[in-house]
Amino acid sequence: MTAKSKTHSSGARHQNPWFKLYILLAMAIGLTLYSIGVGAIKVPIWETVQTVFGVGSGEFDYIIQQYRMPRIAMAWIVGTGLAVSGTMIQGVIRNPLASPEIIGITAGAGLASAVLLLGMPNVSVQLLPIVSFLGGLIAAVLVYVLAFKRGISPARLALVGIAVSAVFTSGIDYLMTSFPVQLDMALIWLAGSLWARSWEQFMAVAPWILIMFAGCLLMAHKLDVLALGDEQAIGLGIRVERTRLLALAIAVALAGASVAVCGTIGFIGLMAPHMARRLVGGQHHILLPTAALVGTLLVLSADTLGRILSPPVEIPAGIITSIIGGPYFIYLLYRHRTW
Amino acid sequence: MTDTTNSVNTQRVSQRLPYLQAFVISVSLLIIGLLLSTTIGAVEGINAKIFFLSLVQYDGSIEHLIMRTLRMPRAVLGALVGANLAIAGLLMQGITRNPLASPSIFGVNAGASLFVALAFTGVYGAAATDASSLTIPFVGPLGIVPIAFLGAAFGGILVYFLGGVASGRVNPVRLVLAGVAVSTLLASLMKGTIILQNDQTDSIVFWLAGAVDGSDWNDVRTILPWTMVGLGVTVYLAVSLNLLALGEDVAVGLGRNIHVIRAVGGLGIICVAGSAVAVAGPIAFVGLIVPHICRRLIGVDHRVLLILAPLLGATMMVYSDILARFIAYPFESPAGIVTALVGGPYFLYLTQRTRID
Repeated sequence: MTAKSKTHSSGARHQNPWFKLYILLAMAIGLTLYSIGVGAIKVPIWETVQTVFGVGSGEFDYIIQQYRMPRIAMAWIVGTGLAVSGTMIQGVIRNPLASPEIIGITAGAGLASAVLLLGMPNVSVQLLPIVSFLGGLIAAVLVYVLAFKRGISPARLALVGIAVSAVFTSGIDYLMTSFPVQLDMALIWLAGSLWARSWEQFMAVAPWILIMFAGCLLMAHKLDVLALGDEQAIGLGIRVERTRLLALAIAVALAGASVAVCGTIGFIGLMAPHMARRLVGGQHHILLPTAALVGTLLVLSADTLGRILSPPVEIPAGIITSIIGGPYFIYLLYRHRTW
Repeated sequence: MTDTTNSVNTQRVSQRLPYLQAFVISVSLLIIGLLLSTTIGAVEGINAKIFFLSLVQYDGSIEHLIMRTLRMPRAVLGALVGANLAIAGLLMQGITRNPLASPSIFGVNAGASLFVALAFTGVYGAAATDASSLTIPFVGPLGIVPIAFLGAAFGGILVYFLGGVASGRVNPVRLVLAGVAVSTLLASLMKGTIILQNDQTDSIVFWLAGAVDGSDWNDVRTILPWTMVGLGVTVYLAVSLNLLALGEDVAVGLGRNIHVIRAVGGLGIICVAGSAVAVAGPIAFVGLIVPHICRRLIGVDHRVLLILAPLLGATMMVYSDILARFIAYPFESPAGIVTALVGGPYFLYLTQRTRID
């Protein structure tokens, strides 16, 4: 995936960005169909298409409609949520290394979700995105306040974010060992997995993420102006602080909702925006949908790979994205070595 | 940062503890901790009297048996692991002159755990199918330790170069970022390996969180020689580290060989941190915060720090292990949870004090 996007950007920088967007969309749809077909039980591609549209032989109805489709729909939603969240954060903070996990949102949302999942297992799943959002919000506010010393320097933000994440993560560890009964579930959830996601969980978060995504697109123009720098933006009539806070709040909500249902699928919020920016440039009205598709592709490929490596054992998607994302982060660190 | 530490410490010079007092307090805390650790647990009726009696006139009763084969090795092992981690942190912070350097941040813990996990699933594949071999991550008196050393060296060297330490720049944030990225990568590889090979999630989660329960005298015998090696290295480097704290130029000007310091120190770190991971899993934050606490208590002289840091590290680990027993009583929790709960906020506090750019 990384290799593909690189050849794209270097080979055809002047191509129409919308064309690239459509190619990404076609790739995502193709991968979706492939992903529905593979796994412990293989389904032929034509049978897959027919079953998805409800005109199949009925043999694979249950496995596809109740087992594979929800998790793949979830991959779309979560990939979009994390990637758009990362794009908003990087755009607003103007920090190439900022992402939901670096600034602590993921860990905060994860802790809040863990409290709800392990401590109150009977509470409705509908509450999960809200609780998760609150957790992410607390973490983000904490990081912002602690990192603020006459402005926010990228380095300090990253450092404080990592420290706050460490605190919240130790809280998650604490909860996990205090409730050993649900340990297996919690472990899989924590590693970031789409395993056994249901339509119910999908419906709990999908509306949130779609509404937030629409909100981001409406803000695209303001974000472009913000990218010019604070003085320019003020001169062009943008209320900088308000826009920035609103964008961050949306980013927290997006990441929080994603974490709530799938745990911490690492590095998507960091990688996808960078890849999308290299593909289509920095105009947010095209950058945001591209990032969403790149994020979807990353999550989908990680999930598919995790299922086909050695069935019936599944490797959580989060583990695979971290194996790709770790080196990518190191590469970013190397590219931005000036500070 | 070293400058800030120095200035902070010179300001507080009057409030600092006299050396003797610091040692007496930490030794007594450690002894009380060891006593508590051997007398608190799910089995009732084991008290300090049994602790002493089992030492001087062992009568083979069940209480004495529990004391000698379960409680004592656990307490001693905890103390040794804590001492090892503190030595590793002290050496790292001294050599890199980076206040945030520590085994977990330097990728040393993650590297050692990855290699240990690989060993269980690959080299020792047959052993991994046996349930008991995973609850005690230890194959033979020397079986897993060299592998942990290799892993520790692997993770440490990666972060060393990526974090820009090799090029001589002291940028705490860069080091932390590189360390986090490398650790995440190595940890993900390890989890992937474990999930692919078997599904004993319970024991693995436990080991990954860092625990000293279920240990025996064999574990103690495994780690003890390396603790000694680590102490030896610290003694050998103490004066050099003091000079290095004044600046690399000063140390070179006064006839110290930077490369020798780094190489010897690096080997020492690999020995202490690797052996600690091999017997107890990756335990976070002890190596980071103990040297800081020690410097606040008695100042920046490594000749004194090298005695106090292992003592305090051992104390912290022993008390963490005691507290861990109450988290989900009567079930055991990993001691690493407690060190993380205490260490996380302290790390946050350190980031507030660290000067950046």
